[in-house]
Amino acid sequence: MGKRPAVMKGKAVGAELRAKPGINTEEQRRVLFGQTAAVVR
Amino acid sequence: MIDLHYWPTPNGWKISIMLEECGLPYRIVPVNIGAGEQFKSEFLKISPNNRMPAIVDHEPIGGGAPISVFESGAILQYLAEKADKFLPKDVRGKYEVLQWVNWQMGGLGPMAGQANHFNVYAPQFNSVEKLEYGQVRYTNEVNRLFGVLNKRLGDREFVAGPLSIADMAIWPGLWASRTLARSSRTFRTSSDGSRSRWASVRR
Repeated sequence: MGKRPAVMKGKAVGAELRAKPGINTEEQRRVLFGQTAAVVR
Repeated sequence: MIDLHYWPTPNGWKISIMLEECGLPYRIVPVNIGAGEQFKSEFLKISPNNRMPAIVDHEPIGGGAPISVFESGAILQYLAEKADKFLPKDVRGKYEVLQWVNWQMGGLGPMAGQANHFNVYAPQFNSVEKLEYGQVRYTNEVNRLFGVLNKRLGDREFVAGPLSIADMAIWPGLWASRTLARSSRTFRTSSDGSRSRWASVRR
């Protein structure tokens, strides 16, 4: 599956957008893991 | 043209892979989830659950006004219908594929996400004692689900018939779970020791 050309190309899309993958800052942590019902009101 | 609201994560990859497999023209609209762009009002009109991926098809099936779709499983189904690829038309084949898409959407995807959270991210800002129950709970469930998948792939190359949207739903998270396997003491890449050509990519 992972060797299919379209799969490799699709997985590479936008790779440049994430200079450093992962959760690296307190702000990222708050945005991604701190959501409550208040977020959608 | 299809706008793909996207960030390079396993859920985003499902759709970029599908678009590449179908050869459909698309353009990327970045949604930086670490910067909170998923909460912008323009994006919420497309994806009210403030999650990417989402698409806007400016030339939808049947014509008319642009159509927006959120939730990766629904997007995969929409694109399959638009391209007439990777989703059989006959009722047996169609539901063989859709049941595995939903298995990923309701099972492997969220359980692996929680396992990843408790084993990889949460230890950076929580004590071991607070995390142990969640780590064991979600790791065990992911191991069970991997066992289901390994068994399914024991005698076939793809999950449901020929290559389908079920494979495109499942593979990205499986690939990403290699990180989890490296980070968790209790995580196993296979619950029963079986190995399939398809699933072996996660090791």
